[in-house]
Amino acid sequence: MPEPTRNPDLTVKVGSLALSNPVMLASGTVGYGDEISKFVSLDKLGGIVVKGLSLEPVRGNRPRRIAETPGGMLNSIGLQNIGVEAFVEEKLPKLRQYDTCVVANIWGTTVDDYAGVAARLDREEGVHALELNVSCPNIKEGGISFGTDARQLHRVTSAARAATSKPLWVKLAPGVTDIGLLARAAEEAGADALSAINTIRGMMVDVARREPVLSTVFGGYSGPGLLPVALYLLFEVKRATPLPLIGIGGINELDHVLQFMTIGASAVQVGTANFYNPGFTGKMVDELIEWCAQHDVDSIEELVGSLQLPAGF
Amino acid sequence: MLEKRLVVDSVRHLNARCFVVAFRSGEVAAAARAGQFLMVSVTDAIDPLLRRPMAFCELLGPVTARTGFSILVERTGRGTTLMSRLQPETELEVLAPLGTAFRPPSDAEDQCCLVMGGVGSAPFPLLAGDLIAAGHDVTAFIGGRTADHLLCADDLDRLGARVVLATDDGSAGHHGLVTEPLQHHLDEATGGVTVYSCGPTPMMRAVDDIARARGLPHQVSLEAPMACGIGVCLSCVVPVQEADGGWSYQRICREGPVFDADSLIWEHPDA
Ligand SMILES: Cc1cc2nc3c(=O)[nH]c(=O)nc-3n(C[C@H](O)[C@H](O)[C@H](O)COP(=O)(O)OP(=O)(O)OC[C@H]3O[C@@H](n4cnc5c(N)ncnc54)[C@H](O)[C@@H]3O)c2cc1C
Ligand SMILES: Cc1cc2nc3c(=O)[nH]c(=O)nc-3n(C[C@H](O)[C@H](O)[C@H](O)COP(=O)(O)O)c2cc1C
Ligand code: FES
Repeated sequence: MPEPTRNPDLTVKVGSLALSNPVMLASGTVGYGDEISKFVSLDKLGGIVVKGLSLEPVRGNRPRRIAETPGGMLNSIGLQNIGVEAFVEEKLPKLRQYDTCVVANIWGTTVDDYAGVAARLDREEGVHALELNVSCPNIKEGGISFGTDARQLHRVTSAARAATSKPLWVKLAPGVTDIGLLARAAEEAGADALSAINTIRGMMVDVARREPVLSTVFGGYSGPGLLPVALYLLFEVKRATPLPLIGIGGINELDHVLQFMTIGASAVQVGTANFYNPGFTGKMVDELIEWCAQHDVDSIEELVGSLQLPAGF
Repeated sequence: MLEKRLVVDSVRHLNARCFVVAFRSGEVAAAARAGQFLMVSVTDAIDPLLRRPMAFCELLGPVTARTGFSILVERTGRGTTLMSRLQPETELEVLAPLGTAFRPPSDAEDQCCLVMGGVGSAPFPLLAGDLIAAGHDVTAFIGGRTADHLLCADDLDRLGARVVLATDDGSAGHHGLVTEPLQHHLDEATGGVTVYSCGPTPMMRAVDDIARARGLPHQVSLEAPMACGIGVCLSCVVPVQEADGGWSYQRICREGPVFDADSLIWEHPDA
């Protein structure tokens, strides 16, 4: 008699937070869910990370804001967002109706800003976790990015930690010499999980005009070309800390999701692929179910951190 | 909004740079309105990565049973060069229809002036057809560097629009800017006029100066580099006047591409 087909168990845990599956939408690539939900049912996904929220609304950078590159794109949106208050009033009620985890990505230009946004969201039902975007300059400390200096990262994470009892994720910035050091700083300051990575810096030149393509000269590189960099940095973060991890960067097919998970990501976030293929994440969930069935994987969590390293590594 | 894999029906080259791609899809054609656009992938591979925004140029087949639509493309970079080599029966991923459409004149008696430059002609055959069907008198002002850069003149003429040409080098029509015959036409016009424009920014801005000076309603279709076309990336913004005197960024892919020219701030505000 043929085995009855069992549905593989796609649920994963990121610390205390359970996701229905490991596929999430990355911050800044799906707004607050309004438009993308026409292409993929949010109920089908593990979660959505909304566009980075600040205390006050932010207009963002002057155009031109994007440039296509080989294997990806640059952006310098400038963290345009409607502000945490309008998010709670206008966007959160709709997001609460979905059966998915809603993660609020938050940022600021001072430690107090981060704490303020975290405190404001702490009261809100339907926000399942906070993710700190630390790839922002600290204006009180000469503009050094919070994410590149272990002491500053510790301070901003501690401040957010004190302001919220919700699960706190820190999204690591890639432009650092030793990402493990920063991972440990976030861990010591009370982060519940780490997501990696944010965009890496890049620039493109319009030779005819002898000008940078982006109005801000340089911007954040994302898309398929980022994949090996992101996988490697996640690997380094995994070696540095026992915290649960979320893999981000360059995901363009199911194999990439599986690679992040094999290294040790409990979940992944998809960014740029939502732009050129808005239904992409729904397809990933379908393919993940099929892959588990084909590979006799009963629970996808079996894969997490199953990477076999060569002897002596 | 439809996410579709569509079949290229034909590719017709107009000159060394410009070509018309016809797609088969009654469904997309039935939903498309003049001024709206689509995002089309140029390859199934990941390079070039992003889809390209293109305006609906004409709807194909009878009004009650559309069979497809066409886009008019100017080859300017990698993506459009790849598109120029498309063969019939090739399949491409398309998101459509996207963005806002041109609105009909608020006065049913208005005559309409359509002002276009270069590949900015693309959305006008569809608009002209609609306006003429609704009984409006339509004049198309087509500008370009040379005669070779004037697009859609035959199509607009066939649809029943009066066509006025202008070239920078005098190789066809008026020798000079397309706004000069427009001014002249408006000087002679009696009754209400609604103006529509699409083309290089300096042209749209000059048309706007003329329309504002005469108090004429003016709709423009804008473009900007777009990563998504559906409103999620915030790459395509343009500064727009707010009622309270301030300004904000709006997305060309969602709040546009068609805007009331009145609401636009041509000179980017500081800070
Ligand atoms: C709403 C809208 C409607 C449009 N309709 C038409 C049309 O009907 N016919 C037509 O020929 N062109 C149209 N364009 C412009 C067209 O999208 C660009 O010429 C095209 O994307 C250039 O691609 P490329 O790969 O050849 O150029 P590249 O310079 O190699 O492109 C690099 C990147 O920049 C973007 N880009 C470059 N130039 C433009 C531009 N002018 N506008 C927007 N994105 C740009 C590309 O999409 C791509 O992401 C429209 C643009 C918009 C926003
Ligand atoms: C246009 C754009 C906007 C982004 N905005 C944010 C943001 O507001 N906050 C944040 O933490 N990350 C932001 N990111 C980074 C993504 O969430 C993601 O980390 C990065 O793009 C790498 O993943 P990808 O290669 O799948 O895009 C943005 C990325 C892009 C392309
Ligand atoms: S192109 Fe992405 S928001 Fe307009």
